[in-house]
Amino acid sequence: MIKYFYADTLIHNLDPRVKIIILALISISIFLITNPVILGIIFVALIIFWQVAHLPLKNMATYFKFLMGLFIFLIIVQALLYGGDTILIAPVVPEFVPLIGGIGRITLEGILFGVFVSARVLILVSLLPLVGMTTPVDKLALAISKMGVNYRMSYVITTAINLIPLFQVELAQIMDAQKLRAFQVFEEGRLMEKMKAYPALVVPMVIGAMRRAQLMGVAMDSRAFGAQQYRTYIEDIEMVTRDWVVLIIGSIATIGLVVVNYVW
Amino acid sequence: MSKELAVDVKNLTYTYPGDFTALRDINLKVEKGEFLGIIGQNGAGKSTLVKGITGLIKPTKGEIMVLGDNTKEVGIAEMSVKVGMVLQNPDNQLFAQTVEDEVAFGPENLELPEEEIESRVQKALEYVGLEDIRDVFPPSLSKGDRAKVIIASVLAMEPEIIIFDEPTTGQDFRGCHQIVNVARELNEAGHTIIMITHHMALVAEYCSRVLVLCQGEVLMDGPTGEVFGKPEELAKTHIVPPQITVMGNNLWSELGLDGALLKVEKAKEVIRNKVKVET
Ligand SMILES: Nc1ncnc2c1ncn2[C@@H]1O[C@H](COP(=O)(O)OP(=O)(O)O)[C@@H](O)[C@H]1O
Ligand SMILES: [Mg+2]
Repeated sequence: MIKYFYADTLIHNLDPRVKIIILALISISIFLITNPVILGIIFVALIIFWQVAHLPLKNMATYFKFLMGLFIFLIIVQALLYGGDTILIAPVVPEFVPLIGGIGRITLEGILFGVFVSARVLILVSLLPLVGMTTPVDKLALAISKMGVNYRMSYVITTAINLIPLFQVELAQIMDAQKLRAFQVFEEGRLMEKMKAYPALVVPMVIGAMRRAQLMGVAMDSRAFGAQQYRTYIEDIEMVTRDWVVLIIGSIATIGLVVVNYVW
Repeated sequence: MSKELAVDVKNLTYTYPGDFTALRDINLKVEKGEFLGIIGQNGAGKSTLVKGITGLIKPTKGEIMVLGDNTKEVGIAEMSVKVGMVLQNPDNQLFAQTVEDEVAFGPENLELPEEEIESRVQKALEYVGLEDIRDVFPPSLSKGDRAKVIIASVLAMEPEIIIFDEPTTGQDFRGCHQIVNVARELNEAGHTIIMITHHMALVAEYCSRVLVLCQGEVLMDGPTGEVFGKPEELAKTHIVPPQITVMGNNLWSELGLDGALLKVEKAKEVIRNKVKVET
């Protein structure tokens, strides 16, 4: 999971705003870039950033395993639909048949494009930990609100991020309790049975979440949450020279790669 | 001939995904009909150990035999009628719309006939004294009653071994004793009971044997009196025996004790005798 862990690295110490802006820039550029070599450069850069931030590369392998199904799906769909000249497997329906002619044709270009799209997804997913695992959630909240988002809103966002791992633990507990009472639909049931079983999973989650939200609300009110329009912070964030340098270099490099992609 | 074993944990090591070893080389034999208490600090591995016994998690190394079967080889449904467990957090174990449905959930999964389910639900609800609130939405009950619904829903499975994972945490005095009394009654009716708790007084009062876990290893295992008679050992994992036992340990010779003092009743008796003799 994407959970903050402490380390004293360049990326940990960057102003969170810089990280958010560069994350956004790279995310957009991935979809603009069409050249596999340039995408490859971004991927290599990403691995280097992971090393710099001391993030375990094992995690990236986990995402890859987790997304394997999606990738295979993408590659198959593109192989069948993308078209192209290098035909690897001849169509099931011959080309001359009107409308459905060519169905079942698999092309090399299609497979390569499927791989390319998969790489985009993997890069996108691998970008998030570079911010999420290197920035404490309270700093993230501070950064978001300093970037102009209303404090209440940024509190909602970051609380939600904080609660995800907690919900995962609770979900596991609920499923354990169900297994202990001989409930095995999620292990070996059919799809319809699983659909029917979901409410029993969701009800305790929602009730638990509402209980918790209520308690949290009372605790926050009693400590004057939202009493003033503006608030101060125990540890403020400030852009220092290093942050500006990284921001400028990062932005130029990212935009530069997109430009190269189109000019080249 | 030794008694039949309910649980036999052999050289159990358990490592959570992500490489955290929560239990290291645990050995534990529980005979049928025992009332075992498990104590230890938060994070000592108590819940992990009992999850292993229920078959929810499988040993990384070693093996766990439950009523003669290896947990690695038995399916969920079969396991659930051997061992029942009341989990730590009551609110994640209630998923039905009414108390009745909640208790019927397990037997329904076992595909029992309707009359059998009905009679089990009735029996289980009577056992915990909730037969009058069958139609209530479980989460709307008081904390004590929510715990009782969960106990009833475990009883309806009629498991031979029943595990309670911190059933008393967050309960008031009355709730604690009601819950533990149900456990005692079940024990007297022949069930093997394993109970995890931080309430040392309850352990002293109810458990015949105690297992002390510390950082994933067994620190002590023995009759309750013996374990609580070694406060220096217990202090290693920051456990203090119940006050009555501490008093007994300190006034050992003055009170003329022949074993650790565990129960208030016993203490009263000892002191009364002493006072009588001296006046
Ligand atoms: N699902 C899990 N993944 C990783 N570590 C876990 C998991 N569950 C528990 N642990 C860790 O295992 C140790 C023992 O946990 P647990 O058995 O719940 O302790 P106890 O019940 O004695 O408080 C703890 O350090 C806990 O953080
Ligand atoms: Mg526990």
